[in-house]
Amino acid sequence: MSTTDLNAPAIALAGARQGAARPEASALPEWHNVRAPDARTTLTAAVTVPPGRRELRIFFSNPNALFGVTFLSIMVLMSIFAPLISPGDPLNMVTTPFLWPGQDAAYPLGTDAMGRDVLAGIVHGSRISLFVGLAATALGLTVGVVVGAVAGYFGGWVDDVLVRIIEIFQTLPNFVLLVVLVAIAQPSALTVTVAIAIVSWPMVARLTRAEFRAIRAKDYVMAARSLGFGCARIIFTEILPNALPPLIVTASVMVASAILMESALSFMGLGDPNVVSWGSMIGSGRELVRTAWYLTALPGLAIVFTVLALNLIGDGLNDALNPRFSEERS
Amino acid sequence: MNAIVSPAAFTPAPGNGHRLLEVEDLSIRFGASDPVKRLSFSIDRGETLAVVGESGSGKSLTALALMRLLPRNARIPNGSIHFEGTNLLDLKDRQMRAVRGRDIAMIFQEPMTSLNPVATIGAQIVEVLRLHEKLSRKAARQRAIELLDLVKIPDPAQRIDDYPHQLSGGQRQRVMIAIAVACKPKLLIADEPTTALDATIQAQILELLDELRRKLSMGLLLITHDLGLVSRWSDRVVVMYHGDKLEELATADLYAPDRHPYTKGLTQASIRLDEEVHYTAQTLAEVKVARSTDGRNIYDVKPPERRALPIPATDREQLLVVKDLSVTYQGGSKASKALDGASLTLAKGETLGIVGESGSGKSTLSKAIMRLVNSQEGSIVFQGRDISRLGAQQLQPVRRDLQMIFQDPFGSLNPRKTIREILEAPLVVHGVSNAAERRQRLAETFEHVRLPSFVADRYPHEFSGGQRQRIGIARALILRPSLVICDEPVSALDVSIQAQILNLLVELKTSLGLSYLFISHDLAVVQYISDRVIVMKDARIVEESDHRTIWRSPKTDYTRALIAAANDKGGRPLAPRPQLHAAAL
Repeated sequence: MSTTDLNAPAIALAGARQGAARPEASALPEWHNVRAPDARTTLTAAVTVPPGRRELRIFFSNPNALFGVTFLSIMVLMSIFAPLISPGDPLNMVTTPFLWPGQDAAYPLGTDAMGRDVLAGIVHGSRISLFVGLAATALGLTVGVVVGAVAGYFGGWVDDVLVRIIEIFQTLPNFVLLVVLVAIAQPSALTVTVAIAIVSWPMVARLTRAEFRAIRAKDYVMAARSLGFGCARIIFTEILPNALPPLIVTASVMVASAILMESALSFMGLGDPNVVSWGSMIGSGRELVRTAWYLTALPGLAIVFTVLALNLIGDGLNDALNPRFSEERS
Repeated sequence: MNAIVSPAAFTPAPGNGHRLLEVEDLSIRFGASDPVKRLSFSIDRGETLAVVGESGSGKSLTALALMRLLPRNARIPNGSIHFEGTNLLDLKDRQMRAVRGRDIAMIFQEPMTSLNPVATIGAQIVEVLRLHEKLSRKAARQRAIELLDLVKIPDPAQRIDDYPHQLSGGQRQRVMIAIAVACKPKLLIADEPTTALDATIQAQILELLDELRRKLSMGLLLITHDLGLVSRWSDRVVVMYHGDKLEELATADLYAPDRHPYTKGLTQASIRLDEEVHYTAQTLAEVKVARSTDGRNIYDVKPPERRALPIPATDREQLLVVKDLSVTYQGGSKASKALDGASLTLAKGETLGIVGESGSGKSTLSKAIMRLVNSQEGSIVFQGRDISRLGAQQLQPVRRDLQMIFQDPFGSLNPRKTIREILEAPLVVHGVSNAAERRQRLAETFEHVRLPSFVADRYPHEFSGGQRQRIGIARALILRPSLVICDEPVSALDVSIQAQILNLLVELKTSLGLSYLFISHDLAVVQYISDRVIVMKDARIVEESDHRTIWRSPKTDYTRALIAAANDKGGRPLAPRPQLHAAAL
């Protein structure tokens, strides 16, 4: 069974959807002699979409991705406008402790054991969680992709050396390394970010390397070399776009896990003590989980939904960036 | 269990004579389109029916439908598949599983991937035997050895414990056949069984299938795009195009004059070695299929045109001189020589054909000349300059004149880039910074390869194989090279498209003054397009001659064997094939 045969109906389907442009088919009949089913698509899909627009359209027609984007943008807006939403330091004691959510209209999510506003904590906590999550991922992804791409593309001794370095990091338990790194440096948002990036890049590097090794052998890379393309051009314009789908999904998972790592550090009391974060809120509420479970559940829910939103965005991006998506789904 | 080779096992089903399979009015539907439309055909016991068609014709889907192995999103809206009187479409999944492998078996195109690499071949045969028949482990093993003997694997008692990677491609296909015939199926479906194999092995595999058909009195459904195979090995032919059955005919009538235009086009477009056509004398026939306004296909054949092109003189200025070129691959501890002291010359305007089977080093030779792999010894003098030791920087201007067309039209274009990006990138790299000039060059190149320029902003997956190959050719031509290396440029294409691409390559050669190094395993194609031919075997060049001499009076046994294999598989049937019915009924 050749794959082209299997694809044929799917291609024909894609053509059928573009029915509006069909009249052109009869205008240029000589095109049909070049193999039937997808020749038909080529004719029917004659409306050219400017590059970039198509990806956005696919992305926003995906309800899951749309939910993810909406939720995440609310979170981002909340973190940006945190001082306006709940003015003052969220660590200030403002009223009586152990107010349950809904008990006092001024503090809709209640207060904790020290009389601090939980809503203010969640709103301000989103700043640190999102900052650490996004910044650590950006840093880890950059380092990981560059190292993995170089190792995978060049191979040979370069690959050997880089893989050994990656392995050194991977043999250490992630979280222990993270704790040690943060304990050595002063805990602050910046050091936590860098530490998380340090523990998370090796996974990206491995993945990138594997993708590059597979794609390097493809004919179009061979063609690019035969055309005299430089290494940087081949790595970044020929191979990297094709290696992106798993990397994008990984990136969204990385943001999620960075938020979780930061929360875990704060939970253990290793976060920046001067700012409130979702993790530190859960950490301080954990002793009261039987009497005031909302103290752990509310920031926990914030983490769950943010991570979920990120995963949905990752899936949506993966579909949208794949030019063949419309065929594969049918 | 009695011996496998016993005609006694054959008993005609009561009532329905010796009709084995009857497909009536079968349609297969994916969403809103029907890749197979109202197809009817039948197979008798011991008969070989060939289903011929190009990719996208629905022939493989039909085979899967017979096995009820269609993808999940496919539906069968109407039609029936009667196998020995039972409609297979009515069977429950459990009953169907019992039919698969026992009554109907299938062999696939790709012997490299259809065997499980972590199990011995013996274990894989035994597994099938014990699934369908109550056999002890020992008896099953004994049968497996008999089966390996039946498919002519030498020394079967020893080889049974081999793993797939220890066998050659042809042997793996034999093992696949052994698994397929293990339970003496009544119908064997062979989906492009030899497409991935070398010509000399192709003939052997088909001979084996034909012999098994007679010994086991199986019906054989041979699905192929290769008309040569069909004319030699089948009794009847069904021709399909884009889901429609165009006609059904006896194989002997395949070359008769009053055929359907599409069939006629296919037979004319497929070139055969014994016809000795050459590009200087005529163009190749092209099949044209257009869609009329009422949605029906109109089939037409563009007949070959006579022409008289001069044969380029070989004593003209030498464009490429390769001397004693050797390439050694370092694989772990052991080194393997992929190219051993190859020497060749290529004059301006000449086409040099290189033939050889897989592993003969012809691709390595082309990559070494392109400097995509490094050579350890020898020299490559291109346009009077040795390029074999140049660094990447110095190679850059050379690359402009030295381009390559790749075999696989699906793998050689970056799927994430539009055609415009693919074609403009080489211009940018080679310093054409003016956007207007790039657009001009792009339009010119589109014209050269006969693609309308409005396709520029599409992605490669929106094109068919033939169109992609045109894009691949456009990429090679956009820098206006003087030498183009064509590495199996038509092997992955359908017959009719193959003819179009070959015609295009010849036109481009004469209009742009190109020289080609044309690599192929298909002797007929090389014969058509080459001015001189080189034969390669085991990393060495074994013979070199001009395009007439090499086919008429080959010097080496190897070349003779290649020519014999090519003639063996193609050509019109010489004598009636031995029939089962006369003997068994």
